[in-house]
Order: sequence, then structure tokens, then C-alpha cells
Amino acid sequence: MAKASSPKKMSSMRKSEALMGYLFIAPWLIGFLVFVAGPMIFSLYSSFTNYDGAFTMDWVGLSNYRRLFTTDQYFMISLKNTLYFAVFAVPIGVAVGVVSAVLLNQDIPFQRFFRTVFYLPKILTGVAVILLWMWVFNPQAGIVNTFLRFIGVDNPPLWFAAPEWSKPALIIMSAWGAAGGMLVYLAGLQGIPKQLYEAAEIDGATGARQFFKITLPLLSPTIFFKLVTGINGALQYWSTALIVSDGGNGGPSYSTLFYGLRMWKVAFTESRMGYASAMAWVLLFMTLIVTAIQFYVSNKWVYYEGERR
Amino acid sequence: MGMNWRKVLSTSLTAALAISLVTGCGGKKEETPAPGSTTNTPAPAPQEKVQLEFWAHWASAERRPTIDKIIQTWNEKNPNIQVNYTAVPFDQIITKFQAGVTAGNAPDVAVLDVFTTQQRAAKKQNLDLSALGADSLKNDFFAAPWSAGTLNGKQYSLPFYTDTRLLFYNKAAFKEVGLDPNKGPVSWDDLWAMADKLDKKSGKTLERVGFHPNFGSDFALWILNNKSAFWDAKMEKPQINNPVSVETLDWMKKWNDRYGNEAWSAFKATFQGGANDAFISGKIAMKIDVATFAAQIKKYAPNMEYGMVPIPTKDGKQHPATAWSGGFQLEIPVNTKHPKEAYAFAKYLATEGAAVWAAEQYSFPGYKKAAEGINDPVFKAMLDNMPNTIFYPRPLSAMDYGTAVQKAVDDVMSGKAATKAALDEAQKAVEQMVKDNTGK
Repeated sequence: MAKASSPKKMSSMRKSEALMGYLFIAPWLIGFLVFVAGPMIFSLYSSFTNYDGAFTMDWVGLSNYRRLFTTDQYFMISLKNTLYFAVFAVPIGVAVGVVSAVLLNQDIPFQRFFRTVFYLPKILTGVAVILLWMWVFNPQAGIVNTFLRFIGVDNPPLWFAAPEWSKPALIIMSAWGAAGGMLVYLAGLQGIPKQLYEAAEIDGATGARQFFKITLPLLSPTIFFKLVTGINGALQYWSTALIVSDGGNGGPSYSTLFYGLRMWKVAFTESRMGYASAMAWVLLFMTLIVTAIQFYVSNKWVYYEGERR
Repeated sequence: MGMNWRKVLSTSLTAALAISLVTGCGGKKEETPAPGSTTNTPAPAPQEKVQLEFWAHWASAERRPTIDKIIQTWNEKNPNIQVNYTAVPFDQIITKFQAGVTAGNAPDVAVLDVFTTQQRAAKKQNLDLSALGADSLKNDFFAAPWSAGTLNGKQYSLPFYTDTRLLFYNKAAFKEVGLDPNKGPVSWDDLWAMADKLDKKSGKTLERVGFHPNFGSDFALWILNNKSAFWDAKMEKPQINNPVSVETLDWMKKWNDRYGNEAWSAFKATFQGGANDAFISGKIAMKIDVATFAAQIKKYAPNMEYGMVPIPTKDGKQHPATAWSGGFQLEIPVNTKHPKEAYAFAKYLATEGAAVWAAEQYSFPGYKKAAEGINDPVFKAMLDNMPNTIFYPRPLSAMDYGTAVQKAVDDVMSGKAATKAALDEAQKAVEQMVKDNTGK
């Protein structure tokens, strides 16, 4: 970067360059310190207190953490629900994203139109879409059950009204949203050199073989990225459950009581901000551990051209 | 050119930064209210102009004009106490109020959800209005919403609007099956017998449901209706598995079994209000709802013939807790700079303001005179039902106990657990909650 011809002059220029650099990133830096790091440190401190969101904030030491791991009756329930969701929703989401990206990468008429359509779930979000899905999964009049009855299923699932079907319904919902994630994979696909496919074709490799031997390995960094961010997102998943369950209670029978929903209830219904902060930090550490494991395992399957990480 | 451009960019960037820094840091110090009012004057002289901040969640084109009008009337009459209204989104107003109290920049008056008023009082966030003379207003308001703002004998809020629940029944359906359309159900047995006639099934699908206690009403209502409660009188000890509670949930289970859990769940999920409301579309013949549900009937089915009666009880007699009410209260933060002025405005809003609001917005006011002043059959029915209406607070030591109760109801309805066992589990869960919250 720096040219080492006239050190003194360059140094002052470098200085001003560095200053400019910092100036340019300053809005972000200040934003990070004030709006992210500040609240995080505050919440870390709160997690050792009985902070109630207002005037009470007494130091209670590790008591919040101790309770969370010993007497909290909802900790394991909500953790299990969250893991169930993550274990299914993330891989399915990745598969849906990769497959739709590969399909939309084909040179076919109306390619752009299809890309737009598949990207729509990313634009259409929020409560309206959730309410729409509640209709799709409506046990009596919803299209899913109408279809199931049509193909001969006598007692189609009650979906959001049955404890054993509410999470699968949420996972299917999230898979629909995952199709919008194809944009990232699509970018990854564009980066795969065409001549690899040409060479493979000349050698007589089938489409499926090309997919598994060329596309997937070269897309693995993208998949890895989506896997890490996807799992982080899934562990924090909760707001949909608030709308889907009756009264936001994580029902039926606690089946949609996710870790995040429980945390939200502790913080904003019970006003136990300190305890909720402790929950948040435990979640952060769990996420860090999962991510660390992923990075470790990634050596085995993620391919960076020519590089080993 | 290039250098110039760079210079311009860097200076403007620095300027922007400087501005954001200054305003960013200055924000905290900007507690000083509007210009014209000198700060820290405990009781401002009449000539001095006071600016009050007022928060509520009414932002829509339907709601906003009414509150603007109410405030305008006040501002015209009180040139020295000017009120400025800010609409804060419903889902944020409680947190923002709370944060504002902590930071010292809360509004002077706010409209807040009635179920959390006592919680804020316990945490010393809202002002004790008894000290300002609120107790003398007690008899001007309905007992249920008034009690919602009382904690340890002191008043922390003034009711703005409230509600009560009634049973709606479909007169056309009554006529169709040979029931007297002028006689609604009075007792639980009536409900059962009438539903026998009103139910219609085709195969597994419920064509018409007579009644279900879990539709428009829930366990929390029925336990009060059955003269018991989830908590002891002091709201300190849970008694969720008490014998009456078990009996009540058994009764609800009987209804659920009548229709079958699968068929009922499917039915319930299908009807979610509006034009698709089960009662309005004739799919359920009797249902409990907030009395102002009548407005929706008027909107979506203006020609529908229906009756409204107090919620039936086990023995057919009304008592002070056959129905429950909710609503919204006016609260003043503990650290307002103008407590007297804020209280004067809150009082105006709760009385004269509520009368205007009730007439235009079809909400039932907490202020008795305002309610009596409205000539409308639905308001009349609500007025008559207020003596049977209770406000049941949430215990401060377990604000979220409803989650555990809901789990018990879910388990019982789906047949996963027996009534007593499910309620024992809920009791244990709530006892633990109390322990966690009180540190005992």
C-alpha cells in the first residue's frame, strides 16, 4: 500500500490518510459503540442484577445464571423447541436455497421473472405473511389440508392447533422464506468457471454428477456462510410463534415456546430484565459454541480454491 | 477539481459528524421542556405557560381526529396548560413509557394498558394520584376499572375506557330450532340444552356450533364466573388447582368432548374475526365477546337479529364477577415536572374527554356519567352489566402465569392430561414463578 521512497513525507500523508480512513468509518464505528457495544455491555452488567427495566438494579451475582440452569422450568423446554426448529429448518432452508438457485441459474425464457417471484418472500415479511400462512395451514379450509384430503388423507394434521404439528408447520413456513435466500447462492454460482462444466461434459459427466462434483464443492463457502448465519438466526427465532400461538403463550402445550419467546416474555411481561439479559448471554455463548464447532468441521468439507484454512 | 471535491466531501463529513456528536450527547440534557416555561418551578404562576406531553396509541385516521378534537378543546380553554399529543405505536408505548420514566423524559400523561398499571405502581413508575385528590373521584367511575389503578389503598391511574363481556345469541338460529328468540340462556344448563338444539353436524365437520366456553371466552373468565379465582384474595398465593377450578375445567372439557377436539380445533382455527367471524357468519349460535362486538355485527351484518344477555352462570344467578373487564388507563409518570397540571388534564380526559371519545369511538367509558349520557342499546346493556363485572388483576409476583394455565387447558382439551393432574402441574409451575420473582 505505502510507497517507501520518501519516508518522512509519506508518513505525514499516511497519517492524514489514516485519519481520513477513521473519519470515513466513524459513523459506523460510533454507531457500533453507542448502539451495539454499549447496550451489550449494559446487558452483561444487568445479567448480574435484578434489573426490572426501571429503578431497581441490585447486584445479585451469579444468581440469575444459577437459577436458569437449576430451577427454571422453561429453560429446557424452550431450548428443546429451539433446537428442534434449528435442526430441521436450517438444513431444509439451505437445500431449498441451493436447489432454487441452481434452477434459476438455467438459461431459460422468463428467467428474470422467475427470479423475481422466488425472491418475493424476502420482500413480503411481517405479520401479514404469517396470517396468510395461518390460512394455508388452516385445518378445515386451508389449501394444505384440502390437498391432503384430496389425495386421500382422512385426518390431516391440525398444524398450529396440535402440539406435534405446530413446529413442522413453522419449519415449512421458514423453508418458503428460504427460497428468497437463493440470491446469495446465485451469486456463488456465477463465480463458478464455465469451463469446468464444459470439461466435465466432454468427459461425459451427467448433470447430477456435475452438480455433486463441481457445483456443490465450489459453492461450499457460500453454503457454509448461510449455515452459520442460518443457525444463528434459528437460535433467535421467536416472533412468528408469538403470533401463531393462542395469546402468544407458546402453545399448544408449550410446543412453540422458543427460547427467544420465553426471553421476551421474561423481559417484557414479567419485567425481569436482569434475568432476561442472563438468558440472552447464555444464548450468545451457545451460539458461539455451535459456530466454533461449525468452523472446526468446515475444514472437512468447505473448499476454498487452492487455500487451506 | 478532484482535490476540491475531496475537500468538500471531508469537510461536509466532519460537519455532519460534529452535528451528530453534538446532538447525540446533547440529547440527554434536553430535558428542559418547551421554550417559555422556566424550569423547576414547582407550582407555576397562572401567567406561566406549561407545555404537557401526552402519549396514546391512537394514530389511525379513525381515531386521531377524535383525540385531536378533545385536546383542542382543552387547549382552547386552558391557554396556560398546552397539551401536545404524540401517537406512539401500541406495541411500544409501555416500554417507551418505562424507559422515559427511567431517563426522566417520559410524557406527562399517557394512556396505558390496564393490566400493567399496578405493576408500574409497584415499581414506583407512576404517580400516586391520591396525593392530588383523586380519591374524591372514586364514585364517579365504575368499580372495575377504578380498582385496576388501586394498589395498597392508593390510586395510580384514572380509567379512560373499559369494557365488559356479554353473551351474544343468534335470534334467527333460535327461531329456526324452535327456541324463544327473546329468552337467552341464563344458566350453564341452559347453554347445554340450547346447544343440543342448535348444533348441526355433517359427517365430521361442524356446520354450526351451539356454544363453546373456549370461544371468545376462556378459563380465566369461567373460573371467576364460577365464583372462584386463580389466586388468593391478596393476590399472593396461587390456587390454580383448587376444587372449583378443577370443576370448571372439567365443565369446559365436557364441552370440548361434545364437539370432539379435532373437529373443534379445526373449527376454531377457521374463524378469526371480521366478516369471517363465526357468530356473524352464523357458524356459532351463542358466543361471549366484548359488548362492543355489536359494532362489528352492525358493520358486517347490519340486518342480523341477535340478542345480548349477561354471561350465564352455574346457578343462573348473576354475581359481581360473572364477567371481566379490561381497558385503558391514564397514568402520570412519577417524575413529571408538572404533576398538578398533568393531573388536571388527566381528569379532564377521563371525564369530559371520555364522553366525547365514547360517543365518537364506541368505547365504553370508565366515567359513569359519560356512559349514562349515551343513548344506545349496547351501552345500556353494558351499563346494566357493570355490576356483574370485575377487574381481575395480574399478580405482581407472576405476571406471566397465564402461560402455565394455558398449557394446562391445552393438555386437558387435547386429552394429553387429566384435569387435576394438569392443574397440579400448572400450580407447581406458578409457585416456582412466584419463588423466582420474589426471591423467596
